[in-house]
Amino acid sequence: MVEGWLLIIIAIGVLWDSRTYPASLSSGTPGPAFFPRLLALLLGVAGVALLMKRYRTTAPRDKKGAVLPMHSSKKTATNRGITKWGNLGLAIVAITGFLLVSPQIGTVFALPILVSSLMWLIGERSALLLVTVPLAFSVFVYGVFSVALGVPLP
Amino acid sequence: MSSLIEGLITAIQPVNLGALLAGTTLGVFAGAMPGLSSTVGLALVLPVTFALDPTPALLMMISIYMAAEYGGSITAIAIGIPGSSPALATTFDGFALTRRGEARRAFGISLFSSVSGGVLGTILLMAALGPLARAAIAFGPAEYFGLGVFGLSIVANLVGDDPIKGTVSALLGLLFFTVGLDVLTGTPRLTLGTTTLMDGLGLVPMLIGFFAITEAFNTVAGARGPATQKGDLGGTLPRPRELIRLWPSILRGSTIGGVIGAIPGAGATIASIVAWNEERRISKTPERFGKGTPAGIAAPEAANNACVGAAMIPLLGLGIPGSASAAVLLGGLMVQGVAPGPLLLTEQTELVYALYAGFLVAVLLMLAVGLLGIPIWVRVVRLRPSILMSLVVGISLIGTFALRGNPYDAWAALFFGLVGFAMLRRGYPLVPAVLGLILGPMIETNYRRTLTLSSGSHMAFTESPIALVLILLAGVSFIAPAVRNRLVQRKKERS
Repeated sequence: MVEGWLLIIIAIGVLWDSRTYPASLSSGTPGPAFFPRLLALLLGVAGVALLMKRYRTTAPRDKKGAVLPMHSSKKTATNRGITKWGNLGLAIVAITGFLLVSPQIGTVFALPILVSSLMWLIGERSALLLVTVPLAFSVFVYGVFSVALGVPLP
Repeated sequence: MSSLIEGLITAIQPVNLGALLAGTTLGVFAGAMPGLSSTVGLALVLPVTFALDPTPALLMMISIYMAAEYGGSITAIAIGIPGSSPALATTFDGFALTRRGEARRAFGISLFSSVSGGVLGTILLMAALGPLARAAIAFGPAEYFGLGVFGLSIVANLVGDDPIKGTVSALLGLLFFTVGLDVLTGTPRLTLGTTTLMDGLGLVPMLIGFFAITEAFNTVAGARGPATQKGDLGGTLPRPRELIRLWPSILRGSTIGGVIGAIPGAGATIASIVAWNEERRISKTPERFGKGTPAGIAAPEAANNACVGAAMIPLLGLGIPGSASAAVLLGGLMVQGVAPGPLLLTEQTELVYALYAGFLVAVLLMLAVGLLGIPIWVRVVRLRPSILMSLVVGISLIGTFALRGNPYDAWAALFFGLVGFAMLRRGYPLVPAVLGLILGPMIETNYRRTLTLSSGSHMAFTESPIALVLILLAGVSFIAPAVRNRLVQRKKERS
């Protein structure tokens, strides 16, 4: 149901933004507005279809489409009590932090922190691996990309 | 034939052979790394070629191009992330085989098919350079539109059990493509008033976001177990008998790759996707595709490597690059003082045959590198998820930096990672969205170009036999899965 409304909102947003695009450059030839408006229309129809499908369903909400059993608030032994949603949030913070920090301190220094963080979030608890793998990986990336290939990294 | 033998003798001279080996190794690496590709690999090595003589320089470049198309399948099979977009179709069945504990078998099929496709594409190049070059320029906007719509019709086979969600995914992909400056008029669309979005949302950030970062989020959230379920995790190489049985699929894939590759601007991605879809369509067991069918690996891999030789047809014959990689190659040719075009075959026969031979030798070197590499790729599969996924995210983000040196691409990858995670969570497939982003430019741009040229008349699409056939095939391809499912359901009800 949420995605039905989301699609309708996206469709309205696209139609709103497209009001400033030229609709047609010459007689009979579509301009830049044509495709976004067509897509908005189709997305709106799809959104309505999803809403209608949802309202027609009389059974309790079906979770078959969900990939993750995220509704459980049980704490697991592997993540020391942090919920799976919390793990996910931390992963997003880790990647966001890497993107923000790497231009400041350099990719070579930011990358081991990112890799180590992700390893820990996925469940790695070996201190040796949490330190050596990220460091070795950072050296590899620097050697291959910066030195060998001459790719400028932040 | 004597010219080809002379070309072979030239190609195996120590300096030239060294260039081919270096190019093949670099090409496999570039193709395998998410974020890199044959185009990036060629661009990175282009300055190096300035210091070389024309023959080794060009041989190095063509071997990178050939090997990168195979390299993309390595990560596609090992971790379900296409190293480059032409390997997208390989992930469908390749990664499924890995999950069944048959990674070695998948790698072996991919290698054999890539080598075969590379050879067949080179034979096509040698046999048909002149005539096919002339035919390739028969493709105009209407034909390209037909090709794009035909490619998008594959979505009908990828929607799974919920056609609405699959269609929404494809529409979102098409919508993502519209972000940025309109190709024909430069009008900013859906840029939210920022200059950052004027460059659009690129394909590589989407691939990295959807396949690498989404997968990492799923792993972090505990939704995914280890990549493989079975004990050995590697399995065995395919038997010769199995490889021989795959020959019809390889031939079909190579033919599709050869035809589409020769069309400027079509590209190996479309060729491999069409090859996979056609293989599924004619199969007696289409429901097995996407679940680890060998033909689902053989056809797209043969297609994307056949594209390499075919892409050289418009390049060498007309001086028109058939792909982004071919465009970089064109730059390399011109720097070396080689002018591609109709007179190349008559004025620089030795070089042309050295290039033909170079392709064949590159394919053999790719076979050697691949065979030596399979035990290494299998070790990658066996890595702990905590190490594997973390390194995948790290290398993917580094790859986005390598793409254009623009940190915005990494942010776009994170955005797609979040979108992909949300989509999968709600049961929306990701591949239709990727197809939408890839084919959107071809469909919209050529639709508008056709109508501009025909003063708004839609008859232009029916007046072109090629366009008409492609559009009709697209219609059949859209409807066929629904009809097939209805027939199967009726059979079940009767029985």
